[in-house]
Amino acid sequence: MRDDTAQQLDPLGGITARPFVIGAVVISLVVAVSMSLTTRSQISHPLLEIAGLLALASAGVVYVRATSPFRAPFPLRAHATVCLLALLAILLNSLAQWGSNDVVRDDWGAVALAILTLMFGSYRPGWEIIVCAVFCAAVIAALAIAQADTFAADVPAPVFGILACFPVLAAGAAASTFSNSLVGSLLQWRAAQTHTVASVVDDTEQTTVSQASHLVHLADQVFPFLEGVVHDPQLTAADGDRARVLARELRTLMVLDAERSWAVRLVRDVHDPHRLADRMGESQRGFVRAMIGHMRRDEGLQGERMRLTLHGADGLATCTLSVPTTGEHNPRVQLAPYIAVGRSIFDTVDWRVEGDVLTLHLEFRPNETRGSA
Amino acid sequence: MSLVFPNALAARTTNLALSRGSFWFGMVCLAALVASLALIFDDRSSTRAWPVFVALALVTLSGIIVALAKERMAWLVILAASLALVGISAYTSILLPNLRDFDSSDSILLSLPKIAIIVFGAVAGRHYPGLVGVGVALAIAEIPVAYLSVAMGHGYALDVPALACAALLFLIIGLLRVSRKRTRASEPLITLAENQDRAAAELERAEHLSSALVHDTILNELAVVGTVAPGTLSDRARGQIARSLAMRRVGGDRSSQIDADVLGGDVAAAVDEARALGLHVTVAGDVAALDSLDSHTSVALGLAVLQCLTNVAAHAGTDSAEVTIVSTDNVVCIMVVDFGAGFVEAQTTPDRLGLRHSVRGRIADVGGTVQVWSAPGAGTAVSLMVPRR
Repeated sequence: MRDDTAQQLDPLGGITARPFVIGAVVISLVVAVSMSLTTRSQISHPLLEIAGLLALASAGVVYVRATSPFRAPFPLRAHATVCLLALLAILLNSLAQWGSNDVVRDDWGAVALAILTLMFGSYRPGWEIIVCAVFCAAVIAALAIAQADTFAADVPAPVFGILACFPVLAAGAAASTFSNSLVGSLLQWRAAQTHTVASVVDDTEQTTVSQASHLVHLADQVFPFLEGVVHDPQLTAADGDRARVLARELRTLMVLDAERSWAVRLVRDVHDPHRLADRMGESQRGFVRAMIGHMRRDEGLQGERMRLTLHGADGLATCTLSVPTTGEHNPRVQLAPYIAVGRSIFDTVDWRVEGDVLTLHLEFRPNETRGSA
Repeated sequence: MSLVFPNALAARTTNLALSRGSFWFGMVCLAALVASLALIFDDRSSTRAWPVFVALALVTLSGIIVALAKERMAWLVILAASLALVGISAYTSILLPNLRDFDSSDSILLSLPKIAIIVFGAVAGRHYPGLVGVGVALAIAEIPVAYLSVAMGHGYALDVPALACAALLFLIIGLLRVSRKRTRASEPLITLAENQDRAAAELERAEHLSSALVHDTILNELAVVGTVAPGTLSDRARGQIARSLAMRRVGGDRSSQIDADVLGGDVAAAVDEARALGLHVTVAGDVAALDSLDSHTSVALGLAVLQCLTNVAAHAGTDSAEVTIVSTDNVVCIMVVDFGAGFVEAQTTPDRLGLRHSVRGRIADVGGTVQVWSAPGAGTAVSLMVPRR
């Protein structure tokens, strides 16, 4: 059984799905409330009905909270909690109508849970969704069969069970297939991916910054000098002095270049005494580079005053990016996709705005394979 | 590995997943209906209604055909739509006489096949506009049932579950594009940053190679020019400078080839060159294993060995060194050992670039590892381990 989820493999897909989760929660609540009102003649215990609606609303709150990009990835615990709260709502709805329930198809519980289940496909593995749906369907069917004597229709009791649980089963099958299909496509894409190096980097600032200084020195000073020596082998004392100076400069620049990490080439203000930037994985470096690019472009941030700090030990290190804000807008919305992606790469991603400074904390294990996947 | 899925593929894969999910939604609806009808007919010992299962088989077949239809197979989709139309019409006309008089077009036994047909419309969304598919499917499902229900005296009632299902699909398909556009705007920027990172890593690697080469060649030539007395430079020194300039200019990949030409047998050439410096080098072990290295690794190993031996000649205070070659199925390991002065690696000054660039950097670039054992007065052993071809 595959444990991969579409959200883990494509964090941006999880953000795309979130408005649908919010929509599903709203629709399920509207359906539940409106069906409660239209079937109020069958409700013998209104308080239990209200409690059922509150349980469904709680399931919705948990669902919406857990699918936030700032809390990604959506955990099994949240999936189970949403289903259990929805099942509690279904149980309370059934108890509210116990003995007075005439029609099985106007019970809102199964429909509401089915609507919620449809959206699990973007967040949880297929097998888990179908297992959960079958379990919920069994509970719903059992409750319907237990009330069979009170239903008006003259059909065998198992039919009530089938008609009560089919929405959840159908939604579970759909969401499970959706998840498996999406995960399969994403894994295929990853397998087919090659490490093609961009031949053109359309950011002149970065390419200029990343040009090693000793190479510039070689091209501008050393090669012309040595070519001159090859062309005219008559050496003077000045040539000897010049050669010694060039050698000293070249050696110094090579040492400086060797000491310079990739982070120093991106951000001017870097504090990385233990050279932890060099111990980040490929994906982690890519993410930090993307984050820095975003912070430079965002008009609400003063990108030129960015500071990158890395500290920690072999076990766990923290990379902190801080940048002053201009106060023009809340950076939360623009940050959301980056945070969602970051949470699939780093152990911890945390951000806050204190005063006028936006700070992003990324925790990682130096040299661990997670970031170099 | 890329951090984010490209937007260009996201739409296609989501549509495919939505279509597959819709198919199974419809199939479960039909399965629930068949099971319910079987239980009901069995309970009533009714055999007259069995043709409903044939009609439902046509509806099921329509879903399977839509799911199997490939792109540019519009005729198959039309066939599926026709089967669905015939199936739902036949099903309704057979079932209605078996329902109670007050059961209307919104009976759950009529809703279920309608829902199945509507979601099969979304299955067509793989190759055709999903909204059109759902719209056409809704018409195929709803119109014949409504017409027959009215014609057979059961009247018409708005089928809320079926219409809600269609509305939900309209909403999902319609909003998916909008939501995707809004939330995936950062994808190109993240992908660009990743590409930049890979380009930067390649650049760094090239710089690394360059640094090693500069250390081995250009710095030596400057030292020669800086130390000889004023006058005419010897032809030998002049030729060496010209060769160093030529090697430096051909760039990363080709420079390895030129190194190979210059060094000849790589490790053997390194040993010869060290001997020319006056070092007494003994070679032992599995020399043939060196043939199993690819040319890039062989060149890197040769240059690293040369640097180790140069270090012995320059710093160890001894005129002899041992080179031992050991191999396994996967790796070749060369130990360069001397019994000279030794050193503490952590205490070497940062400007000692030889071990860093010409040994560690070079071996790391070909996927190998370097270990150094040394102590003042106890000599030095450097282990260079590289992967076999």
